[in-house]
Amino acid sequence: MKKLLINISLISLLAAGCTKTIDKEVPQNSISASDLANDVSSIRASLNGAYSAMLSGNYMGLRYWLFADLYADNISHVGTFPSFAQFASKNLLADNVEISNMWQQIYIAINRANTTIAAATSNNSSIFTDKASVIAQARALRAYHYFNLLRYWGGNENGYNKGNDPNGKTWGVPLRVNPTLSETDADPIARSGEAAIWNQILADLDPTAVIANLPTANNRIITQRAAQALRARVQLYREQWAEAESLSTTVINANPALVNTNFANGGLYTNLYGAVAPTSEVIWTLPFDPTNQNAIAFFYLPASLGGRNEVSATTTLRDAHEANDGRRIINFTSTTYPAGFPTSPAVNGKTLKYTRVSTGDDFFHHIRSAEVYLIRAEARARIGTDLSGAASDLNVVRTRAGLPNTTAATQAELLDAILRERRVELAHEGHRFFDLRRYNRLDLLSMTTNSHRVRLPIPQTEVFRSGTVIEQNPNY
Amino acid sequence: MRKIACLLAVLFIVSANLFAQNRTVTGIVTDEKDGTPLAGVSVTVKGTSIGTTTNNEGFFSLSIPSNARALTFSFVNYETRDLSIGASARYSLTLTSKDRNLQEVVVVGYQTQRKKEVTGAIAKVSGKDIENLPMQSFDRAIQGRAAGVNVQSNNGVPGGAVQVRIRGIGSISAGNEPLYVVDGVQINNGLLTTNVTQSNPLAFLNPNDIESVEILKDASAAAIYGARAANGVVLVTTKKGKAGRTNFQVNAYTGYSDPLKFIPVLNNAEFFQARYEGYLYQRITNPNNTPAQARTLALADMNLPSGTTDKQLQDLPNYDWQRDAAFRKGTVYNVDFSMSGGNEKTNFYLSASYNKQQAIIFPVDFSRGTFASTIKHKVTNKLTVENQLNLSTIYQKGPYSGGGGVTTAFGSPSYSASLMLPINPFKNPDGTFYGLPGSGQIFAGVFNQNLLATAEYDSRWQRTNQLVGNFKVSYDLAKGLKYTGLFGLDYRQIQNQYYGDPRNSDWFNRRGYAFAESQWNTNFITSHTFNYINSFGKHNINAVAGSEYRADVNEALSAEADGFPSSEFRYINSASNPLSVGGFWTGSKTFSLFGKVNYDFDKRYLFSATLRRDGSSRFGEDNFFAVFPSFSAGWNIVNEKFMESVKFISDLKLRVSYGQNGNDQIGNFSSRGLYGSGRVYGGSGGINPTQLANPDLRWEIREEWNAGIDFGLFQNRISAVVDVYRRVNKDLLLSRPLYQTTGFGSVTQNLGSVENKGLEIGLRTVNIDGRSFKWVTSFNISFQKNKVLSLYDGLQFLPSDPSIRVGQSLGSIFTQKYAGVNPATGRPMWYDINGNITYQPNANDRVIIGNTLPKQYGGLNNTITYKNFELDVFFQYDYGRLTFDGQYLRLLEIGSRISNAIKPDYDRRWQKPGDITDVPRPINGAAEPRGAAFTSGDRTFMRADYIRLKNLTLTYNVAKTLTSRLGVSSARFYVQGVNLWTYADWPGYDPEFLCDSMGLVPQSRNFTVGLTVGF
Repeated sequence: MKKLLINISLISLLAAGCTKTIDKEVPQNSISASDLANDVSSIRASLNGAYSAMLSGNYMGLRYWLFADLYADNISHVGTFPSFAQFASKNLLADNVEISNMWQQIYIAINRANTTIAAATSNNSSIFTDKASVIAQARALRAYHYFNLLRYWGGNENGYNKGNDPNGKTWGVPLRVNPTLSETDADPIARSGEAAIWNQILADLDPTAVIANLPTANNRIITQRAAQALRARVQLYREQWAEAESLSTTVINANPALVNTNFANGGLYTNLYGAVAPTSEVIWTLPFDPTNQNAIAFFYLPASLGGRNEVSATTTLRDAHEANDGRRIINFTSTTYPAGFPTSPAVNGKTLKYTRVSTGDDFFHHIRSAEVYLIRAEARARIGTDLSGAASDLNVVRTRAGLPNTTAATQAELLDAILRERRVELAHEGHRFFDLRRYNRLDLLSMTTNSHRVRLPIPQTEVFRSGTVIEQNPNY
Repeated sequence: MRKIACLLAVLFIVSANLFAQNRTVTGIVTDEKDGTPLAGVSVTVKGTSIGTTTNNEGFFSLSIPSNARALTFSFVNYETRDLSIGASARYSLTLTSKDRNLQEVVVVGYQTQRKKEVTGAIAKVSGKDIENLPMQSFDRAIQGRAAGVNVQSNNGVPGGAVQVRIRGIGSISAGNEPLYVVDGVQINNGLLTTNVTQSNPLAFLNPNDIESVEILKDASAAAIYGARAANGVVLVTTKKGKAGRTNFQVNAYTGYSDPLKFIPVLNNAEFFQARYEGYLYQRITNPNNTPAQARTLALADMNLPSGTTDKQLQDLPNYDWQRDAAFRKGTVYNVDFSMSGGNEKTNFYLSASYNKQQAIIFPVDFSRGTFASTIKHKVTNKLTVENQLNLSTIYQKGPYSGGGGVTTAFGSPSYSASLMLPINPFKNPDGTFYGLPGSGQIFAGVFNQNLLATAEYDSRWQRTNQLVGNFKVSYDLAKGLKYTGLFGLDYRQIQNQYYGDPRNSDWFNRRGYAFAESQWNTNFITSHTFNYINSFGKHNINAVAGSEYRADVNEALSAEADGFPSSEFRYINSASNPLSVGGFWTGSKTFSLFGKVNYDFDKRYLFSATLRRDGSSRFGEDNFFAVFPSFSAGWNIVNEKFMESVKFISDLKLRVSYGQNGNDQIGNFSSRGLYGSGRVYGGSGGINPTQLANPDLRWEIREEWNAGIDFGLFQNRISAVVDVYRRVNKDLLLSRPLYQTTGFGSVTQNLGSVENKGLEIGLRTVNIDGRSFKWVTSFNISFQKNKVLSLYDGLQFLPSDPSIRVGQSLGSIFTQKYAGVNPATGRPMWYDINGNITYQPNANDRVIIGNTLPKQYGGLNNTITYKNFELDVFFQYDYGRLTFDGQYLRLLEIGSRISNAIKPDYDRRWQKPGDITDVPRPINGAAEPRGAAFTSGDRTFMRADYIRLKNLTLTYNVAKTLTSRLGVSSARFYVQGVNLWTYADWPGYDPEFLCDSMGLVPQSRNFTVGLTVGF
């Protein structure tokens, strides 16, 4: 009887012990949400993971910015993907797979930023000396992602930050600022109004709460200067000219030089494009390397050069260049090159900005100084009180391209000149569609009679799966 | 207790005083049936404790009191017998072994029960039924031997993976594998396919060491295993020692194996003709393909000059790459030795074995050595300690491209042999392989590698070291109450290496390639149970309660490299260029409490209830614990008073049961929110969310009703077991797409349900039971119907797999229907969704054309004994299944590409307007202009029905008179054939395979001869 008792008590002891241990089994090659928040180096790695979301070919690794040129008049579709053809023909369907992939990848990026913010916020470790910087970077990334969502899927038919549509609605996107941690967080969220998204973007680029905490060096991550430039761009889209002007002045004053003062002489564009990002001009870049390759050059170049020949530059882009514009051969390649340029790709209508097809490591520049000069030029022209300042900013960019000073003098002439300059300076960098949208040039977008097409459709699966919670853009 | 002790003491004293005058009696005890002496029989003076046991010759000598009136003889598994004694000093008698059918004991998980008292659905395969089969693991050997248990070999790799499905499949995305328990140790049966070959976690056990295999089929029988039981449970009991003389047994067999068939393919002239037609019919789109041009092109495909004449074509040598290159005669060789014995206190079973089998495809093989030992010692009357160890080491050479050989790699012998052009020679006149890279010799056709060289030069080997053992302590706590503690380990290490030889074209440019991996599986289990067996008048109780803890860890490390100095350097450290390192770690822990009560009244009314509570680290934190109940009842009608007059019914029992089980075969961390590594940004590593947490995630549930009847007629000359069941698996784990704004693509949730309904019949008849002639037939058949009851969100089919449809069976084949050949043009046609003819069927034209699950399956065994001869004839069959044969699809490309094709279909091809056939005209590129590929749709899905003479064994038991003269106790010779004959309408190598047939190692036909000697 005694032994029985001993046995029973042994077993119940064992039982109690086991119940406690079985829930502690941890996967050793992944970690849980709570582990993340408890470990400073993991939080830093999580921020790196948040940056890496942009490398995807469905986002800044190719499609996001390529479509901004393809959905406008800079790039034509010469390949075989029907989903690309829909962009080129400006006849997008809501089940277009590219739209769905792009939407998903941006929200993956947002979730990674949210995850990092939440984990960093809850960690109060004394060794977490860069806590403020980590949070600020993740917030600035989040601002960038929401800005990118809003540019494609939101806004008024006449532009951005213009209030209600004729039907009395404003169009934003679903706003998620908390991480999706479990299946219970996964319920669909309705789209916010446009203003709410802008407010979130501005809050995440707040000069004191965020920008001041950002790092100052390394243009591969989002620095103070990058966030200021990004905020300047945001305010330009929002038509807050004064702040756009003052922020771009701050950015320019910190480092006014552009790379290669003259593109036409010697064509040292290779200092600016390829697997490089000179800090003198490139404020924020997306680096690629053998581990993280992109398919940018692969999509441009023909099969003979190892590509799939999906897209080419348009002849209207070529013709938008003025005579002697050093950028023409960069934006629209030819079978022959001026001295100083490489001889490849010896093919018409590609770009020299992305040519490294075998290594897949052409960088993509998010923001560079030339754009900031053009932001300030446009802001000054819009305000109208400093037209000569606008012209001189414009001339900084023109001079490098080997062009004479602008002849535009009036406000209207200057705005036209700036739009044209943006087209050729920022070609193949994902600005054209948004610029035409801001300038409300539906004529150049060929959307005068289809103005609903200025907003991309919300992915059909998203609308269907959420019932009616996530509303489709009108007329899709 | 004290009272009894006192009584015994008094009795002892009294008897010592009373029976002072003794005498001695002697005798011999033998088996009633075959007259063998029985050793270890307990002989006591009736009513006293005076006794002895028989020696190895069955002889006893006992000094008995003069007033003793009777002796009691008792022995395990034999009827106890009393013998009255008179004045004689010598008493010889025979003991009768207990009727196995009536007294048969079945293992039911943590306890045993008499078969008569079982109320669930349990099938039993005796070790004797599967002994000496040339199969490396017992799961392959139980094919066709138990109703409701479907066994399919994945392929013919010796010691390869086998799929066992008990009562169909109930899960869509979680596992459908049963739980295997060997002597109380649960086996981790993951890791079936490695990079090198296949691994079968059950191959560690020499099937000849198995005493019995019990299969717990219905939910109530399996319920004692709770969350692991939803796919049924297979309990394996190994042989144990018995008290008595030490028995030795040596067993050896050897034999060879042959391919079941070769696929008839085209010769040079026929291939040329097919190819010529293929180009010619392309003329619609290629106007240049004139007859002359088509001839030139077809000849060029064979590396022949354009002037080659038909006569020259006829005279070219035809190389048979199947018969003379890829396939070989396999061999099998097995020897094992065992000894068992012991005394009242200690008994043991020791065995050792070596098994080697070469498959019919070079260099695939399997060799295994095993040791097994069981030692059981009674420390006191109450305390027993037992230790069991099974050690094995297995060395296997793998097929080309690893796994079961399934591949589309041109270097694979089993894939390429039938597709190679017959114009290509094997070797150069000097004996070197033809067509090696760098030699300048070019193979004709797309299959451009010399498969003799790939098989000879590349090496793939795998070593599996496995230990399965347990240590068991049991203690009798009180009358009928016993505690058993078990500590068990299933440890397995799999090492594998692959060397891609730089002389072969796949690795020529990389100067060789090597991959090495080690995997470890450490699976610890401990269980503590209390068994209580007692009777109170007519009330009988057999109960168990206990707890169990299991911890499983599975990990691996691997490395790959290329750039070897030469093919002489074959170990990975010689490589100049390390490529990558890999590895993984995963683990789970479970803790369980369980109990089961079997109660019967007067052996007539039987009741049983089970409850198990499982906690598993796999489940979500909100659903950590699961409780699984079951109930069953039975009525032994034959034991009722009113049945006494019905003499011809010897057994009749009704059973009904209901139970719930769980299926925990989900990923170890499927419920967790996870962050994974592997992201790199700007040169430093990053992590990111990879999986959404689902704290509600839990086991899938099986609910099953079972009703059965066991009956026997005419002293069980005819006996049968019939079961019907309805099994519903619900809360199935499905991956549900999520709103993309969450940042995740999908989440695994418990959604959906599947139903299985079935009928199982097992029948055994003793057709003739004469003095020297006996004929016994057993037959089983299972009918099975599967249906998806619901998915999620009201969906009628799964978006990720449209063949999974509500109202349809799992395993449905969803494709377009082939409509044959247009007699006018020879073009292939299909049906569109409206039943009209189309040349270009699209995704909307897909319909369900059949199913990959069998509708009926089972086996038929006849055992005929005549004097000392015994003949076993075992058929196994499988009916109602459709299967895709990728090898056949390739062979159907008659004239459409530069590879060989299948002859019967070539002969049937459309040749002129008016031909009615199912084989379209050859067309280069395999698709007519504006037409689908001519192998589209259901053309390559075929009925895989077969009946197979799985096993035929003729045994000669050497007569007793002879064996005793030879000084051995028994001896028998046998000749055996496996897969001797198959009835199947199948164009490929064999209909029995899983997954894809392209390149897999097919089943073979085996012949063995063997000898078993006991002494």
